[in-house]
Amino acid sequence: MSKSMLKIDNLTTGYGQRQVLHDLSLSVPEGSVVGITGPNGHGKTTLLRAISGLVPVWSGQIFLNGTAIQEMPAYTRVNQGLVHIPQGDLIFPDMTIEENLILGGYLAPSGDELNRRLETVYDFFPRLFERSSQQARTLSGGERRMLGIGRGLMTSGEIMMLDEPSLGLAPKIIDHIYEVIAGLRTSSPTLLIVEENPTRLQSVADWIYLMDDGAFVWNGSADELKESSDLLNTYLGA
Amino acid sequence: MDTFLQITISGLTVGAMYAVGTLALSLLWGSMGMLNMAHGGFIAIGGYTGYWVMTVLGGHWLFVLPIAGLAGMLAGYALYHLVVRWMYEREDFSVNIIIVTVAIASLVENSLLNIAGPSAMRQPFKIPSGFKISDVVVPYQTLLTLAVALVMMVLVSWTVNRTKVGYVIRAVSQNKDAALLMGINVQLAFTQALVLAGGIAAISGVMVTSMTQLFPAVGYDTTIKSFIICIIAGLGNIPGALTMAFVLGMFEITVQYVFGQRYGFPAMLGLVVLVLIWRPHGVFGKATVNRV
Repeated sequence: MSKSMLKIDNLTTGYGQRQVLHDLSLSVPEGSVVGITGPNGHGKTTLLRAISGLVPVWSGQIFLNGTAIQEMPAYTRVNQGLVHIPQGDLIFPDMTIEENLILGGYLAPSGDELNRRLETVYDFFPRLFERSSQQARTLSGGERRMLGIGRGLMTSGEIMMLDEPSLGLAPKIIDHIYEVIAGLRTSSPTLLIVEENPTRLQSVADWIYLMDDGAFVWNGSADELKESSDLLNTYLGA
Repeated sequence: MDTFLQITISGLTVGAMYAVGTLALSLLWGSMGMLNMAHGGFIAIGGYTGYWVMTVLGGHWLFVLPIAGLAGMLAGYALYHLVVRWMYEREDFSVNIIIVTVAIASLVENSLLNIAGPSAMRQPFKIPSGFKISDVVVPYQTLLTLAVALVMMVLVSWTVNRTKVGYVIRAVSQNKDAALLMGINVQLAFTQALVLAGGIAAISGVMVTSMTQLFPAVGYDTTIKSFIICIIAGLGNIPGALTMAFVLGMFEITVQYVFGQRYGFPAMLGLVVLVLIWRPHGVFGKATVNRV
Protein backbone atom coordinates (compact mmCIF):
# COMPACT_ATOMS: atom_id res chain seq x y z
CA MET A 1 0.00 0.00 0.00
CA SER A 2 1.31 3.47 -0.89
CA LYS A 3 2.01 6.00 1.82
CA SER A 4 -0.69 8.00 3.55
CA MET A 5 -1.39 11.44 2.18
CA LEU A 6 -3.66 12.08 5.13
CA LYS A 7 -3.63 10.14 8.35
CA ILE A 8 -5.76 10.72 11.41
CA ASP A 9 -5.06 9.12 14.76
CA ASN A 10 -7.59 9.01 17.60
CA LEU A 11 -9.20 12.36 16.84
CA THR A 12 -11.77 13.85 19.19
CA THR A 13 -13.40 17.23 18.90
CA GLY A 14 -16.68 19.09 19.28
CA TYR A 15 -18.31 22.46 19.74
CA GLY A 16 -18.20 24.16 23.14
CA GLN A 17 -18.82 21.43 25.71
CA ARG A 18 -20.47 19.04 23.27
CA GLN A 19 -18.27 16.27 21.92
CA VAL A 20 -19.05 15.38 18.32
CA LEU A 21 -16.23 13.10 17.18
CA HIS A 22 -15.08 10.13 19.24
CA ASP A 23 -11.62 8.70 18.78
CA LEU A 24 -11.57 8.65 14.97
CA SER A 25 -8.76 7.12 12.97
CA LEU A 26 -8.56 7.21 9.19
CA SER A 27 -6.02 6.93 6.43
CA VAL A 28 -6.14 8.30 2.90
CA PRO A 29 -3.40 6.73 0.74
CA GLU A 30 -1.74 8.93 -1.86
CA GLY A 31 -3.61 8.90 -5.18
CA SER A 32 -6.70 7.21 -3.79
CA VAL A 33 -10.29 8.33 -3.37
CA VAL A 34 -11.68 7.74 0.09
CA GLY A 35 -15.31 8.35 0.95
CA ILE A 36 -17.10 8.92 4.21
CA THR A 37 -20.81 8.25 4.38
CA GLY A 38 -23.40 7.96 7.08
CA PRO A 39 -26.55 9.67 8.30
CA ASN A 40 -26.82 13.45 8.50
CA GLY A 41 -25.77 15.31 11.61
CA HIS A 42 -23.34 12.66 12.81
CA GLY A 43 -20.07 14.54 12.48
CA LYS A 44 -18.92 14.09 8.87
CA THR A 45 -18.70 17.81 8.22
CA THR A 46 -17.14 18.41 11.62
CA LEU A 47 -14.39 15.95 10.75
CA LEU A 48 -13.49 17.87 7.58
CA ARG A 49 -13.62 21.17 9.48
CA ALA A 50 -11.27 19.76 12.09
CA ILE A 51 -8.86 18.56 9.41
CA SER A 52 -8.78 21.97 7.72
CA GLY A 53 -8.54 23.82 11.03
CA LEU A 54 -11.91 25.56 11.17
CA VAL A 55 -12.69 23.57 14.32
CA PRO A 56 -9.96 23.09 16.94
CA VAL A 57 -8.92 19.53 17.74
CA TRP A 58 -9.43 18.37 21.34
CA SER A 59 -7.06 15.44 21.18
CA GLY A 60 -5.46 13.13 18.64
CA GLN A 61 -3.27 13.87 15.65
CA ILE A 62 -3.67 14.77 11.99
CA PHE A 63 -0.78 14.04 9.62
CA LEU A 64 -0.60 15.58 6.18
CA ASN A 65 2.17 14.01 4.14
CA GLY A 66 3.79 12.94 7.39
CA THR A 67 3.64 16.39 9.03
CA ALA A 68 1.49 16.84 12.13
CA ILE A 69 -0.84 19.72 11.30
CA GLN A 70 -3.39 19.74 14.09
CA GLU A 71 -1.75 22.73 15.82
CA MET A 72 -1.31 24.81 12.66
CA PRO A 73 -3.64 27.74 11.91
CA ALA A 74 -6.11 26.92 9.14
CA TYR A 75 -4.56 29.19 6.52
CA THR A 76 -1.11 27.59 6.78
CA ARG A 77 -2.56 24.11 6.25
CA VAL A 78 -3.58 25.23 2.76
CA ASN A 79 0.04 25.94 1.99
CA GLN A 80 0.81 22.38 3.05
CA GLY A 81 -1.38 21.13 0.21
CA LEU A 82 -4.75 20.71 1.90
CA VAL A 83 -7.82 21.86 -0.02
CA HIS A 84 -11.22 21.87 1.64
CA ILE A 85 -14.33 22.46 -0.47
CA PRO A 86 -16.85 23.15 2.27
CA GLN A 87 -20.51 22.32 2.54
CA GLY A 88 -22.84 25.21 1.79
CA ASP A 89 -20.30 26.44 -0.74
CA LEU A 90 -19.05 29.44 1.31
CA ILE A 91 -18.59 31.62 -1.73
CA PHE A 92 -17.76 35.34 -1.69
CA PRO A 93 -21.22 36.63 -2.65
CA ASP A 94 -20.32 40.20 -3.59
CA MET A 95 -17.50 39.27 -5.91
CA THR A 96 -17.63 38.04 -9.46
CA ILE A 97 -17.11 34.39 -10.33
CA GLU A 98 -13.67 35.15 -11.67
CA GLU A 99 -12.72 37.08 -8.51
CA ASN A 100 -13.87 34.10 -6.45
CA LEU A 101 -11.72 31.78 -8.55
CA ILE A 102 -8.70 34.07 -8.38
CA LEU A 103 -8.99 34.10 -4.59
CA GLY A 104 -8.94 30.31 -4.74
CA GLY A 105 -5.54 30.66 -6.38
CA TYR A 106 -4.38 33.11 -3.70
CA LEU A 107 -1.27 31.04 -3.01
CA ALA A 108 -0.42 30.42 -6.68
CA PRO A 109 3.30 31.05 -7.18
CA SER A 110 2.91 33.19 -10.31
CA GLY A 111 0.42 34.95 -12.54
CA ASP A 112 1.08 32.46 -15.33
CA GLU A 113 0.33 29.56 -13.04
CA LEU A 114 -2.87 31.31 -11.92
CA ASN A 115 -4.03 31.71 -15.52
CA ARG A 116 -3.19 28.12 -16.30
CA ARG A 117 -5.33 26.93 -13.39
CA LEU A 118 -8.12 29.31 -14.41
CA GLU A 119 -8.17 27.74 -17.86
CA THR A 120 -8.35 24.25 -16.37
CA VAL A 121 -11.31 25.22 -14.21
CA TYR A 122 -13.11 26.84 -17.14
CA ASP A 123 -12.52 23.62 -19.13
CA PHE A 124 -14.19 21.60 -16.39
CA PHE A 125 -17.04 24.10 -15.98
CA PRO A 126 -17.77 26.02 -19.19
CA ARG A 127 -20.78 27.52 -17.38
CA LEU A 128 -18.44 29.37 -15.03
CA PHE A 129 -16.59 30.82 -17.99
CA GLU A 130 -19.85 32.07 -19.52
CA ARG A 131 -20.73 33.82 -16.27
CA SER A 132 -17.24 34.84 -15.20
CA SER A 133 -18.11 38.51 -14.66
CA GLN A 134 -21.39 37.83 -12.86
CA GLN A 135 -21.74 38.45 -9.10
CA ALA A 136 -21.54 35.14 -7.25
CA ARG A 137 -24.68 35.91 -5.23
CA THR A 138 -26.77 35.63 -8.41
CA LEU A 139 -25.80 32.02 -9.12
CA SER A 140 -28.10 29.02 -8.86
CA GLY A 141 -27.41 26.21 -6.40
CA GLY A 142 -25.73 24.04 -9.03
CA GLU A 143 -23.58 26.91 -10.29
CA ARG A 144 -22.52 27.72 -6.75
CA ARG A 145 -21.41 24.13 -6.27
CA MET A 146 -19.41 24.33 -9.50
CA LEU A 147 -17.86 27.56 -8.27
CA GLY A 148 -17.00 25.94 -4.93
CA ILE A 149 -15.32 23.00 -6.63
CA GLY A 150 -13.67 25.24 -9.23
CA ARG A 151 -12.29 27.45 -6.50
CA GLY A 152 -10.90 24.37 -4.76
CA LEU A 153 -9.22 23.34 -8.00
CA MET A 154 -7.66 26.81 -8.20
CA THR A 155 -5.97 26.15 -4.87
CA SER A 156 -4.41 23.09 -6.42
CA GLY A 157 -3.39 21.07 -3.39
CA GLU A 158 -2.19 17.53 -2.94
CA ILE A 159 -5.40 16.38 -1.32
CA MET A 160 -8.90 17.72 -1.87
CA MET A 161 -11.69 17.26 0.63
CA LEU A 162 -15.19 17.61 -0.77
CA ASP A 163 -18.11 18.02 1.61
CA GLU A 164 -21.45 16.75 0.25
CA PRO A 165 -20.88 17.61 -3.41
CA SER A 166 -24.36 16.43 -4.39
CA LEU A 167 -26.36 17.96 -1.54
CA GLY A 168 -29.54 19.71 -2.66
CA LEU A 169 -28.87 19.47 -6.39
CA ALA A 170 -30.96 18.13 -9.27
CA PRO A 171 -29.90 14.65 -10.48
CA LYS A 172 -28.67 16.00 -13.82
CA ILE A 173 -26.35 18.47 -12.10
CA ILE A 174 -25.17 15.78 -9.68
CA ASP A 175 -24.25 13.66 -12.72
CA HIS A 176 -22.17 16.54 -14.06
CA ILE A 177 -20.47 17.15 -10.70
CA TYR A 178 -19.60 13.45 -10.40
CA GLU A 179 -18.26 13.37 -13.95
CA VAL A 180 -15.91 16.15 -12.92
CA ILE A 181 -14.92 14.28 -9.76
CA ALA A 182 -14.26 11.13 -11.80
CA GLY A 183 -12.24 13.30 -14.20
CA LEU A 184 -10.14 14.58 -11.32
CA ARG A 185 -9.02 11.03 -10.60
CA THR A 186 -7.17 10.86 -13.86
CA SER A 187 -5.46 14.24 -13.50
CA SER A 188 -4.15 13.99 -9.98
CA PRO A 189 -5.04 14.56 -6.50
CA THR A 190 -5.97 12.41 -3.63
CA LEU A 191 -9.60 12.89 -2.68
CA LEU A 192 -11.56 12.62 0.54
CA ILE A 193 -15.28 12.86 -0.15
CA VAL A 194 -18.07 13.17 2.37
CA GLU A 195 -21.31 12.07 0.78
CA GLU A 196 -24.62 11.00 2.22
CA ASN A 197 -25.58 9.14 -0.95
CA PRO A 198 -23.72 5.76 -0.86
CA THR A 199 -24.47 4.92 -4.49
CA ARG A 200 -22.79 8.07 -5.75
CA LEU A 201 -19.87 7.44 -3.46
CA GLN A 202 -19.44 3.84 -4.66
CA SER A 203 -19.09 5.10 -8.22
CA VAL A 204 -15.88 7.00 -7.44
CA ALA A 205 -14.41 5.83 -4.12
CA ASP A 206 -11.79 3.12 -3.58
CA TRP A 207 -12.40 2.86 0.12
CA ILE A 208 -15.39 3.88 2.20
CA TYR A 209 -15.81 4.70 5.87
CA LEU A 210 -19.23 4.54 7.48
CA MET A 211 -19.75 7.09 10.25
CA ASP A 212 -22.44 6.93 12.87
CA ASP A 213 -22.74 9.16 15.92
CA GLY A 214 -19.25 10.61 15.56
CA ALA A 215 -17.44 7.28 15.21
CA PHE A 216 -16.49 5.02 12.31
CA VAL A 217 -18.56 1.86 12.56
CA TRP A 218 -17.30 0.15 9.43
CA ASN A 219 -14.81 0.58 6.63
CA GLY A 220 -14.09 -1.38 3.50
CA SER A 221 -13.93 -1.22 -0.27
CA ALA A 222 -16.78 0.17 -2.36
CA ASP A 223 -17.65 -3.36 -3.54
CA GLU A 224 -17.80 -4.68 0.00
CA LEU A 225 -20.24 -1.92 0.93
CA LYS A 226 -22.44 -2.87 -2.02
CA GLU A 227 -22.59 -6.44 -0.76
CA SER A 228 -23.41 -5.46 2.80
CA SER A 229 -26.99 -4.41 2.24
CA ASP A 230 -27.85 -4.94 5.90
CA LEU A 231 -25.17 -2.39 6.83
CA LEU A 232 -26.75 0.20 4.61
CA ASN A 233 -30.16 -0.68 5.97
CA THR A 234 -29.05 -0.24 9.53
CA TYR A 235 -27.24 3.06 9.14
CA LEU A 236 -28.73 4.75 6.14
CA GLY A 237 -32.13 3.15 5.79
CA ALA A 238 -31.30 2.47 2.17
CA MET B 1 -27.00 83.52 -4.24
CA ASP B 2 -24.16 84.37 -1.87
CA THR B 3 -25.95 82.62 0.95
CA PHE B 4 -26.42 79.56 -1.18
CA LEU B 5 -22.74 79.57 -2.13
CA GLN B 6 -21.69 80.02 1.49
CA ILE B 7 -23.85 77.11 2.63
CA THR B 8 -22.61 74.92 -0.20
CA ILE B 9 -18.96 75.54 0.55
CA SER B 10 -19.33 75.00 4.30
CA GLY B 11 -21.56 72.00 3.75
CA LEU B 12 -19.10 70.40 1.36
CA THR B 13 -16.22 70.92 3.77
CA VAL B 14 -18.09 69.52 6.75
CA GLY B 15 -19.40 66.70 4.56
CA ALA B 16 -15.89 65.88 3.40
CA MET B 17 -14.73 65.52 6.99
CA TYR B 18 -17.67 63.30 7.87
CA ALA B 19 -17.01 61.30 4.73
CA VAL B 20 -13.46 60.54 5.78
CA GLY B 21 -14.65 59.56 9.25
CA THR B 22 -17.33 57.25 7.86
CA LEU B 23 -14.77 55.71 5.54
CA ALA B 24 -12.61 54.60 8.46
CA LEU B 25 -15.59 53.35 10.46
CA SER B 26 -17.16 51.50 7.52
CA LEU B 27 -13.89 49.81 6.72
CA LEU B 28 -13.69 48.29 10.20
CA TRP B 29 -17.35 47.45 10.53
CA GLY B 30 -17.39 45.99 7.05
CA SER B 31 -14.32 43.83 7.39
CA MET B 32 -14.54 42.62 10.97
CA GLY B 33 -17.85 43.73 12.45
CA MET B 34 -16.03 46.14 14.73
CA LEU B 35 -17.66 49.40 15.79
CA ASN B 36 -14.61 51.44 16.62
CA MET B 37 -15.47 53.96 19.34
CA ALA B 38 -11.75 54.77 19.60
CA HIS B 39 -11.99 56.50 16.24
CA GLY B 40 -12.06 59.86 18.08
CA GLY B 41 -8.83 58.86 19.80
CA PHE B 42 -7.19 58.35 16.40
CA ILE B 43 -8.46 61.78 15.34
CA ALA B 44 -6.95 63.39 18.45
CA ILE B 45 -3.66 61.52 17.99
CA GLY B 46 -3.47 62.86 14.44
CA GLY B 47 -4.28 66.40 15.50
CA TYR B 48 -1.69 66.48 18.29
CA THR B 49 0.95 64.77 16.18
CA GLY B 50 0.49 67.48 13.55
CA TYR B 51 0.78 70.14 16.21
CA TRP B 52 3.97 68.66 17.70
CA VAL B 53 5.59 68.14 14.34
CA MET B 54 5.29 71.86 13.59
CA THR B 55 5.81 73.41 17.04
CA VAL B 56 8.02 71.13 19.14
CA LEU B 57 10.01 69.58 16.30
CA GLY B 58 9.85 72.71 14.14
CA GLY B 59 9.06 70.57 11.14
CA HIS B 60 7.93 71.82 7.76
CA TRP B 61 4.19 71.73 7.13
CA LEU B 62 4.77 69.27 4.33
CA PHE B 63 5.68 66.62 6.90
CA VAL B 64 2.53 67.08 8.95
CA LEU B 65 0.07 64.87 7.08
CA PRO B 66 2.47 61.96 6.41
CA ILE B 67 3.73 61.87 10.00
CA ALA B 68 0.25 62.21 11.48
CA GLY B 69 -0.88 59.42 9.14
CA LEU B 70 2.00 57.22 10.30
CA ALA B 71 1.15 57.90 13.95
CA GLY B 72 -2.44 56.85 13.29
CA MET B 73 -1.33 53.70 11.48
CA LEU B 74 0.88 52.84 14.42
CA ALA B 75 -2.05 53.43 16.77
CA GLY B 76 -4.21 51.13 14.60
CA TYR B 77 -1.52 48.47 14.66
CA ALA B 78 -1.22 48.74 18.44
CA LEU B 79 -5.00 48.58 18.88
CA TYR B 80 -5.09 45.36 16.90
CA HIS B 81 -2.24 43.61 18.64
CA LEU B 82 -2.89 44.83 22.18
CA VAL B 83 -6.64 44.40 22.19
CA VAL B 84 -8.58 43.21 19.15
CA ARG B 85 -6.71 40.00 18.40
CA TRP B 86 -7.33 38.74 21.92
CA MET B 87 -11.05 39.39 21.67
CA TYR B 88 -11.89 38.58 18.09
CA GLU B 89 -12.40 34.84 18.37
CA ARG B 90 -14.46 35.16 21.56
CA GLU B 91 -18.21 35.34 21.58
CA ASP B 92 -19.97 38.71 21.75
CA PHE B 93 -17.03 40.41 20.09
CA SER B 94 -19.18 42.95 18.31
CA VAL B 95 -20.71 44.19 21.58
CA ASN B 96 -17.64 43.90 23.77
CA ILE B 97 -15.43 45.78 21.36
CA ILE B 98 -17.71 48.82 21.61
CA ILE B 99 -17.18 49.02 25.37
CA VAL B 100 -13.48 48.34 25.11
CA THR B 101 -12.91 50.99 22.45
CA VAL B 102 -14.90 53.53 24.50
CA ALA B 103 -12.40 52.83 27.28
CA ILE B 104 -9.50 53.27 24.87
CA ALA B 105 -10.89 56.55 23.59
CA SER B 106 -11.09 57.75 27.17
CA LEU B 107 -7.55 56.57 27.84
CA VAL B 108 -6.23 58.46 24.82
CA GLU B 109 -8.15 61.59 25.79
CA ASN B 110 -6.88 61.59 29.35
CA SER B 111 -3.32 60.83 28.33
CA LEU B 112 -3.40 63.82 25.99
CA LEU B 113 -4.91 65.88 28.80
CA ASN B 114 -1.93 64.94 30.95
CA ILE B 115 0.68 65.57 28.29
CA ALA B 116 -0.71 68.62 26.55
CA GLY B 117 -3.09 70.17 29.10
CA PRO B 118 -6.76 71.02 28.86
CA SER B 119 -6.63 74.31 27.00
CA ALA B 120 -7.70 74.43 23.38
CA MET B 121 -4.87 75.26 21.01
CA ARG B 122 -4.65 76.49 17.48
CA GLN B 123 -3.61 73.90 14.93
CA PRO B 124 -0.57 75.44 13.21
CA PHE B 125 -1.19 73.41 10.06
CA LYS B 126 -3.31 76.06 8.43
CA ILE B 127 -3.09 78.11 5.27
CA PRO B 128 -4.04 81.73 5.93
CA SER B 129 -6.28 83.86 3.71
CA GLY B 130 -8.43 82.81 0.80
CA PHE B 131 -10.08 84.07 -2.33
CA LYS B 132 -13.45 85.53 -3.25
CA ILE B 133 -16.26 84.18 -5.39
CA SER B 134 -18.63 87.15 -5.82
CA ASP B 135 -18.87 88.30 -2.17
CA VAL B 136 -18.12 85.01 -0.49
CA VAL B 137 -14.65 84.41 0.92
CA VAL B 138 -13.43 80.88 0.32
CA PRO B 139 -10.52 80.12 2.64
CA TYR B 140 -7.66 78.18 1.05
CA GLN B 141 -7.86 75.89 4.07
CA THR B 142 -11.33 74.82 2.95
CA LEU B 143 -10.03 73.87 -0.44
CA LEU B 144 -7.16 71.97 1.12
CA THR B 145 -9.54 70.10 3.41
CA LEU B 146 -11.72 69.14 0.47
CA ALA B 147 -8.70 68.10 -1.54
CA VAL B 148 -7.24 65.97 1.27
CA ALA B 149 -10.61 64.32 1.86
CA LEU B 150 -11.02 63.54 -1.83
CA VAL B 151 -7.50 62.15 -2.14
CA MET B 152 -8.09 59.91 0.88
CA MET B 153 -11.42 58.69 -0.50
CA VAL B 154 -9.86 57.86 -3.85
CA LEU B 155 -6.88 56.19 -2.18
CA VAL B 156 -9.02 54.06 0.09
CA SER B 157 -11.42 52.95 -2.63
CA TRP B 158 -8.46 52.19 -4.86
CA THR B 159 -6.86 50.17 -2.06
CA VAL B 160 -10.05 48.28 -1.30
CA ASN B 161 -11.06 47.62 -4.91
CA ARG B 162 -7.81 47.39 -6.83
CA THR B 163 -5.00 46.11 -4.63
CA LYS B 164 -4.29 42.66 -3.26
CA VAL B 165 -4.61 43.97 0.30
CA GLY B 166 -8.07 45.32 -0.46
CA TYR B 167 -9.05 42.18 -2.31
CA VAL B 168 -8.18 40.16 0.76
CA ILE B 169 -9.99 42.55 3.12
CA ARG B 170 -13.11 42.24 0.98
CA ALA B 171 -12.84 38.45 0.88
CA VAL B 172 -12.46 38.22 4.65
CA SER B 173 -15.41 40.54 5.16
CA GLN B 174 -17.66 38.44 2.93
CA ASN B 175 -16.74 35.05 4.30
CA LYS B 176 -14.05 34.56 6.91
CA ASP B 177 -14.04 30.75 6.83
CA ALA B 178 -13.84 30.64 3.04
CA ALA B 179 -10.93 33.09 3.15
CA LEU B 180 -9.10 30.84 5.62
CA LEU B 181 -9.63 27.88 3.30
CA MET B 182 -8.00 29.84 0.45
CA GLY B 183 -4.88 30.18 2.59
CA ILE B 184 -5.55 33.81 3.53
CA ASN B 185 -4.13 35.01 6.83
CA VAL B 186 -7.26 36.57 8.28
CA GLN B 187 -5.45 38.10 11.24
CA LEU B 188 -3.13 39.92 8.86
CA ALA B 189 -6.10 41.24 6.89
CA PHE B 190 -7.62 42.62 10.10
CA THR B 191 -4.32 44.27 11.02
CA GLN B 192 -4.19 45.89 7.62
CA ALA B 193 -7.76 47.17 7.92
CA LEU B 194 -7.01 48.72 11.33
CA VAL B 195 -3.75 50.26 10.15
CA LEU B 196 -5.55 51.78 7.18
CA ALA B 197 -8.42 53.06 9.35
CA GLY B 198 -5.98 54.51 11.90
CA GLY B 199 -4.05 56.36 9.21
CA ILE B 200 -7.18 57.84 7.63
CA ALA B 201 -8.57 58.93 10.99
CA ALA B 202 -5.33 60.59 12.07
CA ILE B 203 -4.99 62.54 8.83
CA SER B 204 -8.60 63.65 9.13
CA GLY B 205 -7.68 64.67 12.70
CA VAL B 206 -5.22 67.24 11.38
CA MET B 207 -7.84 68.63 9.02
CA VAL B 208 -10.62 68.70 11.64
CA THR B 209 -8.47 70.48 14.20
CA SER B 210 -7.28 73.01 11.66
CA MET B 211 -10.91 73.96 11.01
CA THR B 212 -11.82 74.08 14.68
CA GLN B 213 -9.35 73.81 17.55
CA LEU B 214 -7.09 71.27 19.13
CA PHE B 215 -8.17 69.79 22.48
CA PRO B 216 -8.09 66.25 23.91
CA ALA B 217 -11.78 65.47 23.29
CA VAL B 218 -11.75 66.88 19.76
CA GLY B 219 -12.57 63.55 18.12
CA TYR B 220 -15.93 62.87 19.77
CA ASP B 221 -18.07 65.16 17.67
CA THR B 222 -16.81 63.78 14.35
CA THR B 223 -16.98 60.21 15.62
CA ILE B 224 -20.61 60.47 16.70
CA LYS B 225 -21.64 62.15 13.48
CA SER B 226 -19.71 59.70 11.33
CA PHE B 227 -21.45 56.87 13.15
CA ILE B 228 -24.82 58.42 12.50
CA ILE B 229 -23.95 58.69 8.82
CA CYS B 230 -22.80 55.08 8.64
CA ILE B 231 -26.04 53.88 10.19
CA ILE B 232 -28.28 56.11 8.12
CA ALA B 233 -26.51 54.97 4.94
CA GLY B 234 -26.52 51.30 5.90
CA LEU B 235 -23.57 50.01 7.90
CA GLY B 236 -20.63 48.84 5.86
CA ASN B 237 -21.75 50.37 2.59
CA ILE B 238 -18.87 52.67 1.64
CA PRO B 239 -20.27 54.43 -1.45
CA GLY B 240 -23.56 54.94 0.40
CA ALA B 241 -21.79 56.35 3.43
CA LEU B 242 -19.83 58.83 1.33
CA THR B 243 -22.99 60.06 -0.38
CA MET B 244 -24.79 60.37 2.94
CA ALA B 245 -21.84 62.24 4.47
CA PHE B 246 -22.17 65.04 1.95
CA VAL B 247 -25.98 65.07 2.08
CA LEU B 248 -26.01 65.29 5.88
CA GLY B 249 -23.15 67.80 5.93
CA MET B 250 -25.21 70.08 3.71
CA PHE B 251 -28.33 69.38 5.76
CA GLU B 252 -26.62 70.26 9.04
CA ILE B 253 -25.10 73.48 7.70
CA THR B 254 -28.40 74.54 6.14
CA VAL B 255 -30.30 73.97 9.39
CA GLN B 256 -27.60 75.85 11.29
CA TYR B 257 -27.81 78.76 8.91
CA VAL B 258 -31.61 78.98 8.78
CA PHE B 259 -32.58 78.08 12.37
CA GLY B 260 -29.37 78.71 14.30
CA GLN B 261 -26.21 76.89 15.26
CA ARG B 262 -27.74 74.89 18.10
CA TYR B 263 -30.36 73.17 15.94
CA GLY B 264 -27.96 71.48 13.55
CA PHE B 265 -27.24 68.34 15.55
CA PRO B 266 -30.77 67.73 16.91
CA ALA B 267 -32.16 68.13 13.40
CA MET B 268 -29.63 65.58 12.13
CA LEU B 269 -30.66 63.12 14.85
CA GLY B 270 -34.34 63.71 14.08
CA LEU B 271 -33.68 62.88 10.45
CA VAL B 272 -31.92 59.67 11.48
CA VAL B 273 -34.94 58.58 13.52
CA LEU B 274 -37.23 59.17 10.57
CA VAL B 275 -34.94 57.37 8.13
CA LEU B 276 -34.60 54.35 10.40
CA ILE B 277 -38.37 54.08 10.81
CA TRP B 278 -38.69 54.27 7.04
CA ARG B 279 -35.77 51.93 6.25
CA PRO B 280 -34.40 49.96 9.22
CA HIS B 281 -31.30 48.88 7.28
CA GLY B 282 -30.44 52.42 6.24
CA VAL B 283 -31.02 54.20 2.96
CA PHE B 284 -28.59 52.07 0.97
CA GLY B 285 -28.52 49.08 3.32
CA LYS B 286 -29.57 45.59 2.38
CA ALA B 287 -31.30 43.14 4.67
CA THR B 288 -28.25 40.95 4.36
CA VAL B 289 -25.32 42.99 5.61
CA ASN B 290 -23.23 44.17 2.70
CA ARG B 291 -19.79 44.59 4.16
CA VAL B 292 -17.06 46.78 2.66
